[in-house]
Amino acid sequence: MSSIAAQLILNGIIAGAIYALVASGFSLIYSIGKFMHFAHGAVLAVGAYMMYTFAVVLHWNFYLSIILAVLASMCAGQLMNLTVYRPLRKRKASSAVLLIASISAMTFVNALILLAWGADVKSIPVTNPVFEVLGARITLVQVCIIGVSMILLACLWFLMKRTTLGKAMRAVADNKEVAQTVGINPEWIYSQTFLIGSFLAGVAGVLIGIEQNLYPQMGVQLAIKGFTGAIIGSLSSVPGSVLGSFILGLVENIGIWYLPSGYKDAIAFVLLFIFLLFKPSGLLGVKAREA
Amino acid sequence: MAFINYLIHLGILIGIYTILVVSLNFAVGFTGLLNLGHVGFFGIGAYVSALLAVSGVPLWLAILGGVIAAGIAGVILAIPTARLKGDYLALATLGFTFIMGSVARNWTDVTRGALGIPGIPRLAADNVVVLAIVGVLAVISCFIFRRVGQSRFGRACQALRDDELAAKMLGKNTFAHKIGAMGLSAAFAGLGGALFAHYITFIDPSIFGFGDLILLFSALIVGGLASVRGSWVGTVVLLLLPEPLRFIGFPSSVLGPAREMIFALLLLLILLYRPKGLFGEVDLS
Amino acid sequence: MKKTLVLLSLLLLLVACSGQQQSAQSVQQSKEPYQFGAVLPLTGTNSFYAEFAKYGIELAVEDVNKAGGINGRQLQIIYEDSGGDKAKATSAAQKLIDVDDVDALLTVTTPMGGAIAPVAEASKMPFIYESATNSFAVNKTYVFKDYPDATEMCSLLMKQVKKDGHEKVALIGTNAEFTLLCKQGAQSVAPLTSFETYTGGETDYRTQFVKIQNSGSTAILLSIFAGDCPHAYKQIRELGLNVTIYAPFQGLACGSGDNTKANPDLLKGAYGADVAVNEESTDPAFVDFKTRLVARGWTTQITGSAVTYDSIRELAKAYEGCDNKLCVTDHLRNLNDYQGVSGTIGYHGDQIVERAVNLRKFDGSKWVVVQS
Repeated sequence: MSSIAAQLILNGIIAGAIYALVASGFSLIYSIGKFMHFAHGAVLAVGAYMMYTFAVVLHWNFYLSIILAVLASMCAGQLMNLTVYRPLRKRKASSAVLLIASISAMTFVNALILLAWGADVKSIPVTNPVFEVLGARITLVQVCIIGVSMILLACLWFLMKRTTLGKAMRAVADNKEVAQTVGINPEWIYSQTFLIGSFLAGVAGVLIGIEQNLYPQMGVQLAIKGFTGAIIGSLSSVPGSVLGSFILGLVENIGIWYLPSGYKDAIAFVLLFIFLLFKPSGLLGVKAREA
Repeated sequence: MAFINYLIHLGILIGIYTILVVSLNFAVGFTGLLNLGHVGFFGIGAYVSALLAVSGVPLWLAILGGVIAAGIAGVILAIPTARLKGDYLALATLGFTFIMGSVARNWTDVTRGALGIPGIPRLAADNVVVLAIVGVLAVISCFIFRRVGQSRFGRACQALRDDELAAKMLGKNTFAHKIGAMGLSAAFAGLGGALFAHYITFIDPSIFGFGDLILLFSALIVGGLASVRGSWVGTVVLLLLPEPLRFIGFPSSVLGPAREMIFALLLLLILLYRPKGLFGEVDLS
Repeated sequence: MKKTLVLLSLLLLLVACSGQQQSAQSVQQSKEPYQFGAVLPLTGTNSFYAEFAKYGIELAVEDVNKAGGINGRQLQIIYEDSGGDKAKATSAAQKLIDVDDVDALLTVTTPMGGAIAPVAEASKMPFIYESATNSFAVNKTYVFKDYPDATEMCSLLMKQVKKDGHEKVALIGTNAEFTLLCKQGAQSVAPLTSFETYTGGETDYRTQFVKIQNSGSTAILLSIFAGDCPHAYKQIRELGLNVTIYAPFQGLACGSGDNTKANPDLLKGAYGADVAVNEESTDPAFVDFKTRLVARGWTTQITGSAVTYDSIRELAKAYEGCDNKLCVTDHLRNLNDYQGVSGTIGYHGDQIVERAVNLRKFDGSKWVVVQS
């Protein structure tokens, strides 16, 4: 029985790592830009589909393809920032409007992907050996996903806490006007934020594309999961959103062990409900949400 | 000309969705509750009304049943969520929608699961009559929400939206106000759901989908928060915007995505033109 | 705001004008080509189903016109996108009926079938929907269901499962109507040890497979969306599940060309059931159909395209010699033993089609019809 338990926990961790990859970029952009960049999912999808194009269609070198795909994501995200969000910010748009604009942008990009690549499911074949850990099975790609999500989290933490850029970003997040008086240009900070966030989306897209295959709607599905995981942990804290994502993954997979599998998307929420009944300020409380 | 039938159909949809958006506006725009559970109430209204009607309950009693069920659900949801802030409220209410969807999909003994409920009795045999019914109800809903918005209750809700702490200190029972707002909002969502069920005459668990949530919020925000006029205008815009696109003859290989792209671009242009929504009064952060 | 109201009225005017123009054209052209309307999920989660449906429709239109058309007039298709949304589907159907004045309607998937059926019936428009649910066509005159029976497929497969000696059987499926019907069919033969579902759109079924593995099942019925089969196979392989696969809707879904080519190792001893299309058939008409389909670049859903191809040709045939829509429904209802590319088709006086369904065995590289 214990190998089943190990497999379940592993399933949860793998799912959680995938959500965390999405949630980290989403949460970074939310904490600095103060709005929900739903189109993050579309940027992710761009990374995945470009990886497919470079590696499978054009048969370029695998690692080169990864780099190019991530760069493509960064371009896509920055393009969205410059053509959609910046004009709206200049016109003093409310964050609710930015959210709807983001959803429109996602609709646009998803339709473009459908147009360009078609509706069938595509896969990126890789040699993917399976390992046995405590009686549970895990593949190389899954190990990479878990590893990469941890490394990225560490890098992000370092960026935010120890670098000048990170400090400037936090300054803008705390108070845009005050930051401006100290000579920080908020628009430049937003650009950097989108570049970093979209870098995360690109990495997520490549890894998830390899792990879960590609389909035009993948951005939407993952955005919802990432958004959920991020809020569970704490939307404006990147470590929190990563933690929340892992919790979501674990709860979903362990939950449907005991309940009919049809309830998978509801279980995490039921537990969340019960949790929030006792702790309405959330998982990490108010202090972490300020971080 | 049969073209008028098509317009009547669009009018009916606009009427139903107006009821949904104007009630959502009361919870979100007036009271500041980031309520993502609206689609859940919509679905409850639809399912309860449909199930009652299909088992022989007279039509308008069934619809009333749907409204009451949704209203009660709104009150029940408001109680634990009243203490939650911003994103957690959003998440909890979103969870409610997902949970309702899951129940609809899996409680097959009652809801027939993915097979759905076909053969729901119509509001009326003639679509013109349906349009009249739905139109009247939509106008009444807008009227009610405008009056409630201007009432003492409504102004207290707006106060608590702007500064909950201050409202509490002024002695307002913010808890009761939140429950009232949610309950009222949910009841009308249930009405919209029941009308939807009795118009389309077939519902299935996909009614609890994310797509409708996006449509409702888009209409709400494009129209403008805390404005009843904004709600129905936003609904008209969001529902009518894709229709002229049907007449652009794209080749079949690009038809679907091309129209979606144009729709998305048009929406973005509208937002650029009116960054606070067409009649927007407030900003929610 | 005056400006906005002006904008709004312009919008309404735009819709009205473009619609009037269209319907004016249709009146002029009433002596011209027949027009069938196809409401397909061109965008959204089911966009996969729309693509191969379109290829089947296009080939059918080509063939109908090559053979001289219907009553000497050519056939055209007008496509509309439902986006998988019921409200949008009804709007699309109303537009096709009221503005384009089409001669027949076609749609795929259950939610669309259910939403459009009442509209078609009320507008007296011949309508074929392709989904596993019968209920929308019951007690109707103009609504027809043209799709193989999931219940029959799964009871056929379950009989084979038992014949192969499996004591514990699992069924995993997308939480959709065809899975519920498949479950009914399977359970009418023998009880299921394990029944797992996932919501359409999800891609991770690993825990469901772990539960199946834990139940000791040695056979799995895979009742899942065509687009989800690659995910399922990947996870079965990674978890090291040692099971025999039984695939309903084999040609359409998990036993389709691409899926079979990618997973021959997992399909050892596998059986499939589907509408009686023999994809390896040497019949020249079928070979021609297959070649032209492949030439369009879509090699993987030959059965799926064949089903929609036949639906169009059935409608075209039903129109022969008719000058009103009621006559069309009579012809359709009395269609028996029609040889389509997807097998023998007949309505036998009913609104619900009877399509021959057969069993296939995987022989290591392709699916071979099992002679009974």
